Amino acid sequence: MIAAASSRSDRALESVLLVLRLESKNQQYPDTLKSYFRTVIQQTVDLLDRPIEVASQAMPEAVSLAVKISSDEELRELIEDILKVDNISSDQAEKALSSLEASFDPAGESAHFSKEIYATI
Amino acid sequence: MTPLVNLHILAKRFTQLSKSVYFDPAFREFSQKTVHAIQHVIENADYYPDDVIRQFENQAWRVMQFVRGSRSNDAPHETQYVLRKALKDWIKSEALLSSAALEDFIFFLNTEDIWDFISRSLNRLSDQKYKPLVVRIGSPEAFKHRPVFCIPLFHELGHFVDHYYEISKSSLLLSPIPPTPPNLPLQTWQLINLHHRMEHFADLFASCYCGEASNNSLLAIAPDNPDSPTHPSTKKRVAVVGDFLNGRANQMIELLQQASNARAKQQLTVKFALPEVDSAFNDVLTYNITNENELYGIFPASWNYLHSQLNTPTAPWIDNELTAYGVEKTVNDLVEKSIRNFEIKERWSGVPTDAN
Amino acid sequence: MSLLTRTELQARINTGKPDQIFIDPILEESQIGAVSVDLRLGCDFLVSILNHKPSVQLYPTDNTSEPELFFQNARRDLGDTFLLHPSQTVLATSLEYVGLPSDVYADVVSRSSYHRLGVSISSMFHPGFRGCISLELFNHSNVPIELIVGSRLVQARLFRNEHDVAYFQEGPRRKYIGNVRPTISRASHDIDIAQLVELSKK
Repeated sequence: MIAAASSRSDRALESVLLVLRLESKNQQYPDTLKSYFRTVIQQTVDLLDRPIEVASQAMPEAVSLAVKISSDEELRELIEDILKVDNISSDQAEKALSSLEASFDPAGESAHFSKEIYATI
Repeated sequence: MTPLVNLHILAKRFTQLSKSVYFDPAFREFSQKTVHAIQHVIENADYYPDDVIRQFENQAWRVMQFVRGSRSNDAPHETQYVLRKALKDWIKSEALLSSAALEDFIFFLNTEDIWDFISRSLNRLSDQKYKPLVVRIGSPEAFKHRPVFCIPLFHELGHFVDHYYEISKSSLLLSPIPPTPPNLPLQTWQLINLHHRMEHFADLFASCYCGEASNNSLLAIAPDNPDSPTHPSTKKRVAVVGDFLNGRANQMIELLQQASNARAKQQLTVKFALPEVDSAFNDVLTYNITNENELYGIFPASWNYLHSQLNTPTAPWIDNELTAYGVEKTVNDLVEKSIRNFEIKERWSGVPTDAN
Repeated sequence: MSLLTRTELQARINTGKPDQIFIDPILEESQIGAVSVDLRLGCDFLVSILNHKPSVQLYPTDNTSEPELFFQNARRDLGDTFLLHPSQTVLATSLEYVGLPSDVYADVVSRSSYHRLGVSISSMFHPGFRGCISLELFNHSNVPIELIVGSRLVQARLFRNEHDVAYFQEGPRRKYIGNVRPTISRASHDIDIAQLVELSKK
């Protein structure tokens, strides 16, 4: 009945994905976008390290990305590796992009969870 | 259909849509600036990467629905007026409101941040400071004049505010989820917890403005729903709202309040006051709403009045010939006009009057 | 039967008592005049339109000639203009929601300023009336007139009856009660129409 999800949330990481796509193809793109991407991933890592301190200032995209990588160690490492370098390699970008795009949607498994699982929420 | 061809088509379509005499001036400006941005991309197609152009094109398509909906005669105007006030409690930017009158029993609020994208991606475009908040409100067209039945929009507004600040998501970082059950991937478990927190936040948000009516409309639609990956059970949802409205301690409320404080710099607080509408409505008269708390409160008060009259008619104007449709129409009309009268008085009092 | 004057109007308007004359909103006290109350043009309109059917049928033989198919909704905000074209019929309402007690009825006419422009309105509202006052706008002049939503278009003269009239409790269910926006004519619901149609067949 009620459509719960806002389009803004579903698309929070569109620009992050865009940058990774551009980097994976070694394409030139505006510095403003580059700078935005750096800010997002830096805030993401900061959020995971110091959530209470950073939560009030982080961009919404950084919150979304932090939540995503908090349950994905491999993706977290990829993002942290990107942060360590000035120039992202196309290989790094490609791996991060694939990992980020492969997000899991449990809606398709709605029939499988028992009451005991939900009881702890 | 290449992105560039589509952008030409979009530019023409935006221009066409903005040519209505009755177009909202703020949306006219939005359309004109967006057309300018589209033309800029077309003229600089060699400079911007294809992926950037494609992304921009996608967003332009999506935002066109907003522009189209801003010309609609089918908006539930009075409900939107109240929603706008509730939105202003949380997001100070002026919102450009657009509406979608649906033939389906669906409610939503969504936004498009095309101008955020423009400001970071189209660096050659000069108009970088323009960042309007465009909001599209969807509700059944059949409820256009039925504000009491649009109470679910407050729940959707809760989702909107949540996503704007990413409150529920940040709560996952601030208040970790319970341990993952065996044989369940962490990501799945995290997503279930996130969805449940999002629903609880939206319920609590709605109850700040509509009290128990938000729960009551949920019970009317989904009285016995069990837990699912996307929603907590109806029973849990009702219990959390009940605890909130009655000031009882509740862990879910606490973790969402902590996140709300961190992200939106404010907590969920009750904003409504229940007006006593029976006397006016029994006499088929509008209720004189005196302040914003009553403006919100007229929704739950009217919900209660309507359902009590449908169950046990006591109002003098209800006789054997009057159907349930007639009862709800009368009550919804009185609510609509009560809200509109408040709006009229508010607007009038803000205008200097002629001393003559 | 007596025409209510300013003092009497002020004593009875919006008192909160059962015999009050209810008018909401009254934006300016000056709306209450010596022997009338000015009422304003409301936000909703039903504009008459042409369609491919030749006429409005009060007893439609199918559902394509009913009155509602010859009108279209329009909405304006306070302060917006509404263009009334020559010879155009437009249904509107007062901005105010009105409730008349059982001993008062109202005659509503266009204010002379608008009458002189060619906009004439004349209606009567029974004791016990509830709703926004319906205004059937018609432009008798040969030029379009720009009306402004919220302007004082009509004046209501209120008369006190000697005896109370329980208008809405007597007779068949009244067609228009509690309306807050213009409604299409329900002439086709008149109980005599069906009888007359049968008569014509004989």
